[in-house]
Amino acid sequence: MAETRRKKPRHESVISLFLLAVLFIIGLSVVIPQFNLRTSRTVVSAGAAKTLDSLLDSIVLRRTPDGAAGFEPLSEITVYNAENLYEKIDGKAPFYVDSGFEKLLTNWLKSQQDDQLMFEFYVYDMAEPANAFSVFSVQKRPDASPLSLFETNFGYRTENALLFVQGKYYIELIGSAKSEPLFNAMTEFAKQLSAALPDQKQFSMPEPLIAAGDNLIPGSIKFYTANALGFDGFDNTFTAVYKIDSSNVTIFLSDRPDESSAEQLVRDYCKFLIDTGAEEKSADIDIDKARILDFYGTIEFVFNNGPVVAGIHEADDIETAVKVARLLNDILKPDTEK
Amino acid sequence: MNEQNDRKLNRRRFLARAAKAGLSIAAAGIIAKTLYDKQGPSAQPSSELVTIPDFSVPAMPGRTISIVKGRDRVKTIDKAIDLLGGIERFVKPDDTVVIKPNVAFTSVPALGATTNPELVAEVIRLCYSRAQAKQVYVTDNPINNPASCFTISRIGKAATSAGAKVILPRVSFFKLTTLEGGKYIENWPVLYQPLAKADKLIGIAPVKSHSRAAASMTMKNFYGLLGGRRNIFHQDINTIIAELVMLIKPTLVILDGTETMVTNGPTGGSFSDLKRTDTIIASCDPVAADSFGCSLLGLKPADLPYLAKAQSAGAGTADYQSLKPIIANVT
Amino acid sequence: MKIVTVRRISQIFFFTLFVWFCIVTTYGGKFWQLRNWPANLFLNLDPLVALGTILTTHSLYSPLLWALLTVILTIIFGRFFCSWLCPFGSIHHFFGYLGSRNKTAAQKIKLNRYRKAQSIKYFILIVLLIMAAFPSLAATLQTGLLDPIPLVTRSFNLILLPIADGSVNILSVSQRFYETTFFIFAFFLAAVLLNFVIPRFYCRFICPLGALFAVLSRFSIWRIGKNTKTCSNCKFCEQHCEGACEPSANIKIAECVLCFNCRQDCKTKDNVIRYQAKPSLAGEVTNPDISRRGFVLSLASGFLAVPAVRLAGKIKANWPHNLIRPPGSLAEPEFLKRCIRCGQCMRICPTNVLQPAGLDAGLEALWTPVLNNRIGSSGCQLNCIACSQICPTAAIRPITLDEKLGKGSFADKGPLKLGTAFIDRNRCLPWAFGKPCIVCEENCPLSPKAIFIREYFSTVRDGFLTVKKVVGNTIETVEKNLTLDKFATGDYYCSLDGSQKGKIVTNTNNAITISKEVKFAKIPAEGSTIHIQIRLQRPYVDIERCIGCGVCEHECPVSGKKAIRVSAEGESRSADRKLLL
Repeated sequence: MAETRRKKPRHESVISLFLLAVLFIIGLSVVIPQFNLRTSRTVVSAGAAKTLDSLLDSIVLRRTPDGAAGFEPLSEITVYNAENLYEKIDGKAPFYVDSGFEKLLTNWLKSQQDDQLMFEFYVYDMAEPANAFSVFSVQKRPDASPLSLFETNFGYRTENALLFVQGKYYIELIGSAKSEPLFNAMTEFAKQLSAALPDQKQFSMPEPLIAAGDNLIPGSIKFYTANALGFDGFDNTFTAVYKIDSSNVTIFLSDRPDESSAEQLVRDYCKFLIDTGAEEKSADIDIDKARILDFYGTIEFVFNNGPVVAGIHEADDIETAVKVARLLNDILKPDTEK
Repeated sequence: MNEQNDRKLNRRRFLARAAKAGLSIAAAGIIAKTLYDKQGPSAQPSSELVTIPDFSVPAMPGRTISIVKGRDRVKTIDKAIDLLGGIERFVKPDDTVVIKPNVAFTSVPALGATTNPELVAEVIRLCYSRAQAKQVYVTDNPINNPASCFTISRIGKAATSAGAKVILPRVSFFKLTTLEGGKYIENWPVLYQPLAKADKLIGIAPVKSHSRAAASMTMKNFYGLLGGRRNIFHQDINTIIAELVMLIKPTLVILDGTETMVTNGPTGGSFSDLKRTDTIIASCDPVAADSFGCSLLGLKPADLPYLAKAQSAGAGTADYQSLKPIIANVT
Repeated sequence: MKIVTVRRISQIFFFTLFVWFCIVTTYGGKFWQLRNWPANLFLNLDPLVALGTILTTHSLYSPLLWALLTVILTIIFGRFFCSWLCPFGSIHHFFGYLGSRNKTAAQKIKLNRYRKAQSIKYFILIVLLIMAAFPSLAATLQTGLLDPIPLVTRSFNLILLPIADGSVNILSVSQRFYETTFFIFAFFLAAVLLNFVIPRFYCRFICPLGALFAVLSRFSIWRIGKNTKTCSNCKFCEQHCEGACEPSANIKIAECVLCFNCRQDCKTKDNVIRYQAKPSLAGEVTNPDISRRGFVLSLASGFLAVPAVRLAGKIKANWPHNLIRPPGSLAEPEFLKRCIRCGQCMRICPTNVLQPAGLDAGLEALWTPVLNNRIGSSGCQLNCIACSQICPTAAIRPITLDEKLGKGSFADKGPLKLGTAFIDRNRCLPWAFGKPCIVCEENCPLSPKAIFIREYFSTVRDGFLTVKKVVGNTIETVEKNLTLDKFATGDYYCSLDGSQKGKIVTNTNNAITISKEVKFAKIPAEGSTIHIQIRLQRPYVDIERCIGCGVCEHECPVSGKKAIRVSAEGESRSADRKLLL
């Protein structure tokens, strides 16, 4: 029979094409995430740092010539990663994790002679020397006394603890009591560990802070990977305490990618201060685009020199702030200009 | 005409069908939502929910909170409890008492991150010799390995020497509970076993600063009764601390501010993190105890949002002055 | 563009997607391996899986929320899943087409007529759902046996892919084997071949998922129907009707699978058959065609089936000891409430140790995953949690590596145990036959090992020799029939009157030479007896440490019935099968 071709209604084509489009989108949404290269579901957990593990295991504290008792490990070295670090240090974990933490190795060593004498070591792998210096400097206790043991001058002791930085590692040795024999053992441990750690890039203080030299209170330099001075724009920022006349001020400096982002950061910080109640002050200074603000009675001075943002924090008065700022600016000037 | 009627009939039928379809979809959606299970099954088959008993004793106005200054912990705590009516007010003869100290870390007593073992021993002694308790248990669900924590903090030894039994957490000791009105404690495992057979619950905690919560005192001490991946609550630390005191109503809490950890809490690490403030607080109301305790850290109650949250939930009062604290000195 | 064209494209698209997902269910991170591919997509979309697990566990496991989408779309549009998405359906569609290609129009129309037997699938659905809804512990999830998505997944995973890959070995380094596959294959093949008898045989008569969709599509907004009364009743629309729903007459909406072939085939000038919001002008029937008697009968069967199946006591005291389940499995009653026998775990297992169970595990456990340590490359690998990550219903709940190994926060619970290894001392070489072997101890992956050795010296057969003469470290024997250098392997010792032992270095047919390091305390007298002993290392299993991974069983050289075998006592998942206090 003759087939009378019936008219194909247009809406059938429209719907068909629409459904095809839906299929296409389904296909894309299945395939595209595969290029994200996240780790597969069947992930095997990262193995312990075999070399650092055995390195720590190999440190042996025998009876020393001066009679200090031998120490032995209390159990096995425990390894923590970013996910379970809180199980060891609870509330402090976010601070480390946010600063680039990768791994912690820790164990107790107990004196074979005296049950009460023991110390715990914490070896934090912070991935980068700057991060290690950051967590070291920010947590520095006020009663820190200097430690001249190592080449690195990033170390200090308190009554019962020995804390230092080596390469990307931040190391804490915490003793259970105030005891010289105990501290000697900890020192010996630190020496052996420091010698055994593989050669690596060490943290180097930025030029300007070295140039500021004697004017900075030794050991006051802190490096924040984030949130310096309570402002979230200040990542990778140094703070230090500067001696001027007979008082101290806190200075800060931060290396930005380029001049324009440095200028923007200055503006952002000032906006942040003003939003929280600071008052802008004017003063005659020969530093280009410098800003001075009075924050509830203390002075904030912030400026940029090329790509470096620097300034004074909580100065007592404008004169002091300006003085130190000028000194800072001089230090920051590139050599050719000096 | 017929066509119009037909159309009307069709439209009515269509609407009826559409309505039924809508209802079916809604029903399917509701079923899916109520039964939605994000985590999947746990290793143990699901168990019944338990309720934590209320361990508080009747209030005595003017004898709710005592603040005693003194260098010797044992003498100071004796005085603090006596001022509230003595241990006999709280523990009756033949009672089973559970003491919940802070045993969270493998940290030696001198570092102040855990409860001082002397205090634990003294409270146990009071329970047995003065109050004639039948049995005292000491328990906690520490952050680090439990056996090591009880050993290195010396609390284990102090407890057993004083005649108490230490209950180390085991998986079967945890049961699920839900806090009515709670946001986070829902089908959450708590260390129920020791509490199930207890008549009284006494919390003992040191005063410590805490990087997340600003302070860790008697309220945060009860975090140690939670099980599971409780770390997840740190993201809303103030709410969970408030929920802890809504969940747990202790008989008495002791807040040890003899050596307060003012920096680098909650683990500390250096003796220089501790400051001698020589104060011990005994209180029937953990919120009040913490409200006073924060002053030892140089903080104000307003600095601890969880105090206000707990107060508005009716779990205690942040205005400790209104409870007329009894203040004393011990030489 | 014609709607049937899109439908065909859709079938090809989803079928290809399905096959691709089967391929990528391979352990690894490459593009053609698991990575992040949503390999469980079809199982997640399947509402019967969701409904079944809702009934047995009173919860909707989160990945199965996708099924809600399918349910909603079915309620609105009808049984689109069957002819647009279902990979099993596409297979039937294709074979049905092949089978009726050379038939006349009249024959095809006859094949596609509605048959009463199409209501069998509803009874099957009811029986399965009742078994799942059975109160508390007794509930059992058997939907996976006949649910098409798990069925086709397991058929591809366990049969078609291993066969296809057998010669090229892309997906797997060596041929993968699966037990009971003949029956799985027979099932699959039967379903496919029946399409030559009646097209879409499985879909029309058996498929419980189709039955579920039929129930859900009762209130669909749009449905196939006639738009005009001027139909010539030529019935050409039924030539290729996939659902056998009789669109020419009183269309049975419950059976219609939205293939749109009727619309395509209709030769009338007007648009007679449409997908429309109003009911067909030739009449429609929305309810599935089941009689009350049939309904009650299937209800009763469902109720009786559960206790009947449980009579063998396989859940309680008569539990099968060699049923070793994958790590992370729930306790047996809970496991049987969730396993849909999809075979994904067996597919992804990198060592091929997971196998579908046969009937010896009980009828209820048919085709559920069990470990067979003799098959595959090595027992259960220590650092692998692949099966627990892929199970779509959490019958094997997702565990972390820490939990499996008993590290980190699980350190006090210890590692997950699948069972315990038992040494069969009647078959073990050093125990029964005096032959040295410590393959099991060497291969135990734990540290410290769960198998330890104790030394044992055993006099060999014909090992009592009489001393003739001693020259230096060589003892000449009266017997002259020793095999040259038989005792030179380093395992043999010469025992001199019980007290001294010396390692034998070499021997001739009448003399034994002992290692120079041995000094005789007393020279053996002429005529005295010496014993030739072999030094054996006899293995012992430390049941506190053993996790039942089966590597030892796999490596044991006694290759038939192994001399060390894992048995389910001591498995972590069952509190009542503990071996130790």
